Amino acid sequence: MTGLSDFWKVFKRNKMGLTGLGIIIFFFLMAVLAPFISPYNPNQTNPNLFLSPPSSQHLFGTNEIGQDLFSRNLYGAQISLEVGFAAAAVTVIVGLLIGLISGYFGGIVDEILMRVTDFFLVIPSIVFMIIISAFLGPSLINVILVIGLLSWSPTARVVRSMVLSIREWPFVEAARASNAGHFYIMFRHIMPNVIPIVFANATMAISNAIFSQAALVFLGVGDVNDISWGQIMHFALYSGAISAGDWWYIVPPGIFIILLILGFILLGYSLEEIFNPRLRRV
Amino acid sequence: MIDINDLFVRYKTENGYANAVDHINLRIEKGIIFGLVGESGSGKTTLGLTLLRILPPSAEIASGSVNIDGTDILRINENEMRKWRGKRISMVFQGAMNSLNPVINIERQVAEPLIIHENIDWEQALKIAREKLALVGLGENTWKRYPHELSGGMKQRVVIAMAIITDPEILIADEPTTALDVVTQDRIMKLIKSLQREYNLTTILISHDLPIVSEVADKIAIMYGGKLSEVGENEQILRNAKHPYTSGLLSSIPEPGSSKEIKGIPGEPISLVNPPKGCRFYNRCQFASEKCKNYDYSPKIVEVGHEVYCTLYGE
Amino acid sequence: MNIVEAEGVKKYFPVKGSILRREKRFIKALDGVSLSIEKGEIYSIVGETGSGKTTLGRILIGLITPTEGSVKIDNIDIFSIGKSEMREIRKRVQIIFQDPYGSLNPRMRIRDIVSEPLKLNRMEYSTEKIARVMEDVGLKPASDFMDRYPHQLSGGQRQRVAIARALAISPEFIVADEPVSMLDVSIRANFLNMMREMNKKYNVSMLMITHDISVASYIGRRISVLYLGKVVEQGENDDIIKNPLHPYTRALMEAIATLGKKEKELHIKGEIPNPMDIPKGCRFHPRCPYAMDICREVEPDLVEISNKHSVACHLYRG
Repeated sequence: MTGLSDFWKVFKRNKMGLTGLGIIIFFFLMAVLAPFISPYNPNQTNPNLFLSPPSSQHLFGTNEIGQDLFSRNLYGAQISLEVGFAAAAVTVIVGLLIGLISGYFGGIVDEILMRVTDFFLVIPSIVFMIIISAFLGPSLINVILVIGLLSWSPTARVVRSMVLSIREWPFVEAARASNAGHFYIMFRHIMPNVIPIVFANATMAISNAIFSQAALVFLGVGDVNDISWGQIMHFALYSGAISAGDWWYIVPPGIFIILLILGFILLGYSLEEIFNPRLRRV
Repeated sequence: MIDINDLFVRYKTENGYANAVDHINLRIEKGIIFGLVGESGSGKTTLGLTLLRILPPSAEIASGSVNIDGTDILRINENEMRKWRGKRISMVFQGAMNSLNPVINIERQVAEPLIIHENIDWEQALKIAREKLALVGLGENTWKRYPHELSGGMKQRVVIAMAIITDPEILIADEPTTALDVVTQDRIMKLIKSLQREYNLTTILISHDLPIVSEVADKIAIMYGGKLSEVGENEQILRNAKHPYTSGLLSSIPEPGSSKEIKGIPGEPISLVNPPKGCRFYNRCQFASEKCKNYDYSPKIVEVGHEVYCTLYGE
Repeated sequence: MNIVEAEGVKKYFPVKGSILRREKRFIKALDGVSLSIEKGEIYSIVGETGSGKTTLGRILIGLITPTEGSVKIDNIDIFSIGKSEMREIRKRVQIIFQDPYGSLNPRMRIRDIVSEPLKLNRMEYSTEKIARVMEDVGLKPASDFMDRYPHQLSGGQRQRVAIARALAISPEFIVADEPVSMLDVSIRANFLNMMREMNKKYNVSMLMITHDISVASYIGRRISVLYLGKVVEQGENDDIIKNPLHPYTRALMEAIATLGKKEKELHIKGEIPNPMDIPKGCRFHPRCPYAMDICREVEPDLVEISNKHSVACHLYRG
């Protein structure tokens, strides 16, 4: 498996992966097109329409200060995807580096890095995220960093175990015989062979980040000023709309979050399925 | 008698069908060692798997029949087939010696099929297993050992004992000597020969190694690109090879002590996927001519028992 | 002139003991091997799995450090020099491996694989230079292969890429570790012939490591037979093949499968023991049909019997 076209040939027959990709594209379009297809300015309040149920004017109804929930939900996709991708990037870069160094050098380096990894693996990360976010204060960057820096351990583990096997392959020895240094071997020979699996892992990391961000904002420790699905749900709870039975306030963002996460999970599973068969030698 | 008629087995792949066994006709007499020789990707293993009907899901038996004692084993239902598979026909799989269960001692592993399939109690089954282990040359001191305590040659003997536990009539041995050192190879071949001689066991010996096969086989078939290229008695193939591929193989084997240059065959083995029309060996053959491109693989009889699939030998 | 001189090379790999058994155990992969390879010759090493032949090949080009003994390349003791001198040595030696699938990085193009040793050693490289090496080893026309990936090539072609990579820096010495054992029979002959050609054309010495004595004798000018980490017989190709002295070499010769129905009688017992439990005395004695009392006690030295033909066996003592 090398070229993109080869990849597509295999991928296009994977129904699960295609479904996931379809869902992701749908929300991606939603985020990009939000400014053009939103019927209202999402921040525009309407004092005459408090918590009105869905209607032909307001497809998803309005909230307690009369903002159009349909428009706000469209805009909400932006933050979810932004945080998802950015936090996953942090996760993947940290996880990849730690996994590479740990697996390649082995010995005491490996021992130390893996104990740190284990620590991050076992701590209840959402609790940690809440504490650190509360401490750092609400900002988009903080949320991204907190999620990213607390979620890299599974990636590091996977990368390490792959590196352990790849570094034993004869092509690594051939490079050593030609005076290749450690970093050259790590980045030129080993990394390209773990990248596919890291990609599969990254999609999982994205879904995890989307969920964490929504949860943080919902609990009020994230940034409640930016429009996001978690924020909509947060206000749905705090305005008392949920106890009043105003389901339209909380159901759409909830479904969107679940759907988007599902999309990334489906894609992630299918990528793993495609990439995992022993590095696909043939 | 095993009578293979127009057998066509193919695999579905990403790039189309791979014709692993491509309309093959073959007769294997009872009680002989039949050597099936071919390189990787020649279809020889697929032929073996077809006789047991244990092809992977991507494979399809597109046409043909395999008659054994008048029964077409490709037409009988799965229930019937179970009475053949592992009982009347059994197989030593390539690399099986490395897939023995590490936590069960060897006499139990050999006995297990009897317990599962034949409803025999443990005591009886172990008795039979020990008989077979002794038969393949493993003495009492090995029976209770575990696979990691055995050498490669001993493990291969265990695998052979497992294959003959039900007293089959036909044994298919797929590369039984690959990955063993030369001394052990020779011993395993002697064992196969003695089983055939003493129990009249029809043996289909699948291998890429013509010299090893030629030391024990009565008849030899050479496969290339899913097709047969030559079939004959051992001596006919060795002394009077007709197919350019067979001659090429024979001249590829270095002989220690002779300074003779070995020639080999130019080019690369053909892919089974979307093979060209006509002779599969065309692009590597030094005698290739126009008519080879349309060769329909009708056999040419050289003499009784010796058939060659090549246009060089008249109509 | 010798390109390689190995003297008393030993390599013991420590075995991790269990928690209960604290005594340190070793796998004695090599237990005192000496040999010298002349400039321009092909030298063959024959041995079964467990003989230590692969470890020896790695040590001769400095990929593994021996427990004891010395290796000289062109009179430079490669295990007593500094890093920068070792870098210079690495520009003069190369290795090719058994597995044509694992020895090429699946994510690199053939042109990058072949040019890699040149780039790493900061040597001049050009597409023409790489194309020339590729065509020399039979990848013709080179332009057909340059931009392909390893998985698009057959096993034989990959192995040719591996040798092109080794030849690219015009080394003086190449270790070939079982290069044909995973190739199809019909491909093997051409590959061996190509290696012979390259040996002449590039004036490169080669060490052919193989389990197959016929391959060893086909390509080697001299042969060493390795058994459980020791050389049991060493000499000119013809002497070893036509007049094998050591019972082990004789058994290897007897066991070679040759064309035609026959039943051979082998004068050897059992199988190669575990290198963790090397038998006392002559390490071959448990399998030897001629074993005498002395063989169970005293380890025989490698002694020259006739012109450059040496054997380690008590049968040939004075």
